[in-house]
Amino acid sequence: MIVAIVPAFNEEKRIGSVVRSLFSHVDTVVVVNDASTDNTEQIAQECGATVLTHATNRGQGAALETGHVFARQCGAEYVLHFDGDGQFDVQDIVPALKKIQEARADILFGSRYLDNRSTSVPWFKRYILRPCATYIIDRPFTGLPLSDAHNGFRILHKKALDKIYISQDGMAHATEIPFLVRKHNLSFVEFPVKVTYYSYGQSATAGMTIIKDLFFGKFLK
Amino acid sequence: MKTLILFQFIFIAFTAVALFSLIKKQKEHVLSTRAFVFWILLWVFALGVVLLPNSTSKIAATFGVGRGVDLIIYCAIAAIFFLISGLHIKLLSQRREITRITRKLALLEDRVNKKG
Repeated sequence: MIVAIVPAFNEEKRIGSVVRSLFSHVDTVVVVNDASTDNTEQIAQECGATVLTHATNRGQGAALETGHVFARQCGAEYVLHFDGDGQFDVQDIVPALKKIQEARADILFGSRYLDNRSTSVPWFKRYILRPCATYIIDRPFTGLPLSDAHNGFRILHKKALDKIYISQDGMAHATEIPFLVRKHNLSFVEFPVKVTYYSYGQSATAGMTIIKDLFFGKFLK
Repeated sequence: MKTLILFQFIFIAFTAVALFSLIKKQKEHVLSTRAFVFWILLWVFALGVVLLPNSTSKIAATFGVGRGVDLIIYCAIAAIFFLISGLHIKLLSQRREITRITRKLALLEDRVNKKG
């Protein structure tokens, strides 16, 4: 059983097409509506998704973990992380699943930098933010040589799902997941995925918040 | 010297207001006895230092700091840093608690909807 987890906050414009396109590749689509103030919840429900609604906005990491709890309860064999803003291409799902199965890996990380399909990545992000984030935050913190740790496309096998509990509510979860992969000695593979930008996404100031969250998160259980 | 006297006068007034507020809070049972005693001692100590500025110089000298006032500033910065960090960690812990409750509610609501 493959469960797609789609964290969504005010995504009424694209959530419908994302959910409909996912159904031809996975068994269940779970939209975690992170207290959207628009029609995200209704549209996702009308499209047939299971909608879990947060009463208050908790962040993408928190939404993914809510989806994880649901997937563990369902007994999912694979879990797909897929953003609700339509930036990913569903055509990448089947080859990515094949890759994780063939490699017998516990987790697959999508990367927009392993091929040339993601042409809309902003210049500043590609050449300034990404190297800084990779060499200053991600690699020292996680120890994993990932080319695109903050890519929201991931596939987790049941073994990884049982080990990875996301405690970072915000965007720092993208650094926490590789950290947990290393901590629990899970095997991983990277896979090229296409990313289409509809908005700028995370800024440099968001990077500072990630560092702060990771630092203070170390003081909590 | 005149500035210092003026500052001392202002600080005495400020301390009086703080002590009055502490006593009021203690009477209203907002503060625990331990916290009340801690804050009273802290304000009395601060007043003593302001009224007798040379009293801290000897302690400062033993730490290799030139002036007593410098030692107080260093200690105050360290204490503020410690307090703010503690508050931040507490805040983060409470945020995670809110997330846990929010998650439970979301999953419970889904279960109820499916049963209904």
